[in-house]
Amino acid sequence: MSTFDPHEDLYAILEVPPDASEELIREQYRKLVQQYMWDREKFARLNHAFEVLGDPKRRAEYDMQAAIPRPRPDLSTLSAPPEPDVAPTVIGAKPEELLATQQIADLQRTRMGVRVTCPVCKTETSAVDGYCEECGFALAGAEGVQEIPPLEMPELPTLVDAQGNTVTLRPGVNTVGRLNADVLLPDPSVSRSHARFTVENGVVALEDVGSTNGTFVNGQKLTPQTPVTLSNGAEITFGGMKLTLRLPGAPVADQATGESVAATSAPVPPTLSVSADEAENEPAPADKEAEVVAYWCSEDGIMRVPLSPGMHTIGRRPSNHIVIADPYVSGNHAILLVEPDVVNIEDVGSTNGTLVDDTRLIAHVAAPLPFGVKVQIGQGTYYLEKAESAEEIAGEEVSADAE
Amino acid sequence: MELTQRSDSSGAQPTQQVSVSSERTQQVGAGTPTVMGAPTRALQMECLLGREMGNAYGGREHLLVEITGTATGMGRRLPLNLCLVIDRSGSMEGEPIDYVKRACGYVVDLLDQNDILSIITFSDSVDVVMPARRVVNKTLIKEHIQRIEIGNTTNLYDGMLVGCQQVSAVMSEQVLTRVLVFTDGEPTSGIKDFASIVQLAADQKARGITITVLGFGPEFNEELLAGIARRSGGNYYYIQRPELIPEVFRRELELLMTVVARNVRLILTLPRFSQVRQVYGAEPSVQGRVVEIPQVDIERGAVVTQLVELDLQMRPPGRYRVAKVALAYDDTITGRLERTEVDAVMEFTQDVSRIPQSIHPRVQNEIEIQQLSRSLERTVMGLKTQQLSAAEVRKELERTMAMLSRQGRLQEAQEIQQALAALGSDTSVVEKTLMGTAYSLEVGKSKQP
Repeated sequence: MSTFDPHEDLYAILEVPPDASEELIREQYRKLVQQYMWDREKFARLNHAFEVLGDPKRRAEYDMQAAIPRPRPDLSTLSAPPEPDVAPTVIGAKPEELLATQQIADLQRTRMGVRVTCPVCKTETSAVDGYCEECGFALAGAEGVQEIPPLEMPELPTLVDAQGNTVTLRPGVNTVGRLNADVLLPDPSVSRSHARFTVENGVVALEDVGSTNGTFVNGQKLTPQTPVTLSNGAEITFGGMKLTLRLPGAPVADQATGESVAATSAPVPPTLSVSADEAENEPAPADKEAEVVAYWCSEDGIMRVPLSPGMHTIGRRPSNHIVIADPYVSGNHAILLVEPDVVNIEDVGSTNGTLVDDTRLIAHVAAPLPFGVKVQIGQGTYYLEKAESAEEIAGEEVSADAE
Repeated sequence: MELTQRSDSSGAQPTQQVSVSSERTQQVGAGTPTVMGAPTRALQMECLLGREMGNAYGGREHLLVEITGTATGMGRRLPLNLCLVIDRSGSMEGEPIDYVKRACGYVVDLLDQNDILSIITFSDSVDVVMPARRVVNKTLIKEHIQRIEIGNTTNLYDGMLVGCQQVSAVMSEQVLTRVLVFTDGEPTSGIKDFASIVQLAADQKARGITITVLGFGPEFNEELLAGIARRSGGNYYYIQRPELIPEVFRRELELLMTVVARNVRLILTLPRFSQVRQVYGAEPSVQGRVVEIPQVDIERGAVVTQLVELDLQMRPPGRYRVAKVALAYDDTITGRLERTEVDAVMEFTQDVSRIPQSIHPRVQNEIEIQQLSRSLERTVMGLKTQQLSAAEVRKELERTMAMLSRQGRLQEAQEIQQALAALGSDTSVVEKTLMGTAYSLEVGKSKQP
């Protein structure tokens, strides 16, 4: 197998700089092979990389060929930090030597790719693909753009149920149904595909898409496939579920703290609770008197749940304290055991596992979870944020008093 | 996800073009000094999004991946490591066992000395007719096959287990391993429950062993066999009459001999703002932002589709890659691990009127097919539990057949036709046929048109 693919960065695979010594390459290979033994694909790539880079002759051949640039959009105009001067002027160096070092510098630049700061998510990312590695924003074509502000949510209409739980309707189409809908109503009287809201320029229209038990607005049954415009305070009934529409600018009733946790967990829209026993759905100690030890935060910044001492359950079912509505999160996925001085995390036998710092937790074995360490549950990433402790706050007050 | 047309005054047109923006393929020979005689790769991948324009405030979109096995001829085929696991329980007496013996004989004829064959029979207990070894003395093997005798009960679990043990002893990268399990009835001895048997298939799959199931006659448990096939990534065959047995064995062997890619996986890497909501017809493994979806082995000329539903969150308007789609597989042509990557790109806008109502027809078709597969399974259940009348089932099947014909899925349409013909006279034919159809639609494999 002596064909090299110049587009594949073998140095990056072995995680060594292009000028790494033979020993370093060998050492890295051994180390990574141990680490990735379970990953057949990565394992194969490591072997291939070492096959080439471990052999001085083949490595030289590869270095030469790798200088051929990849077919990429022209990213040289993107704002990038200045490249370090890799080819210092050497006094008395022969011209050929200078040329050689310049070639190496060019290789390095090509190989490392350009790194830029994404205007959308502000992370530093390799621009080699043309897209931000973190958020996917198309960097090519956005040359010179420094910052793109986050989208401002316009004031949006909301639906409120009998318990005071709310669902926000977003601009465009919002499907209503028992399964896989934007407005998820887990009640058997609601059809899987029941109705559809359309929100455009502040106007809310509702259409029944052929439900079994019908859609009623202020007591009047809607004709299927016929949209009607709704006004503020409209009472809508889907099967057995009654909701009230609130248009922006209208007075808002008291909101229960009950489902607000579920409402803020990003990926899937919040579920309006059907059962009357709200107690099940209350997050663990939300009262202000209990001392908050930490916050359970999602990486995208949308979820931030206060944790006070006790057990907090995490899972997809609404009966959990922390509800993550991701299909790849198990019904009951994990638990947090919160104490004033330490927080432990335990996977309760989930299907896809819980990863702490990229290591999968052994099921039913509690492990301490330090602040800031990355936790992966389903498709989301989370971490613990330390809460300002009472002593700290008290300490400040005391010192303030002492002044 | 059903999309119905509504009167749209904005005049937004559905986009038809392929939404692949850049293809990073690791290709042999690309950019390097010419390598003479570089072989073509086994698989090609095409990605389509339901729509290329999305709502900046968030929404959902389907992603369709179509994987095609190269149609060009192969030099040599990969040697096989095959185990035939044969049910010799009491009900097999007479024509069934005779035809099975004949089928095994055909298999021996089709193999050569590079192939490894093992033959297991099971009734109450398991007999090793031929332990795993190269097919050298064909006459001797056939003599052993002829000596297979009828037993009593059906211990499917042990049969499967021993079969898998046989192939795993000689498994390697150099051979294509497959276990063929032939049975005509419910498991009546040994471990009999659905969960354990299907779990066995899953465990073996994890070790790289794929099981194909061949169900014969009216008595076998089609749910069980389909469950095994599904977990294992193998094929499901329903053989109605004994004289058809040899042909089906031959067909499976032909497929095995034309496999161009195995250990096929789709690996989606999702950026922020994207999540996988649903993966149709497969059990993905999800680690944070990387979703790995295993696929069946792919033969020359076969097309496998994978449909995924993405949840897209609110973001500033602009162009975004919503997923990196990578296809990784063991290429039997080049003999290497290959990987192809494609970007799925969409533009997001705040102006909802710019977003087309209808989605790409091919994506819509696949959504329909997946729904058909599910409704077929429900129909079979309804028939079994008698919650659906024969008339309701007939109506449902006719509708399904029409949709499949329209979509060019003629093989599956024909199967529905057969089921319809048997409706009212032989329910077992209906159930067993439809289970197979539902499974093959779910897996998404078809022949290249």
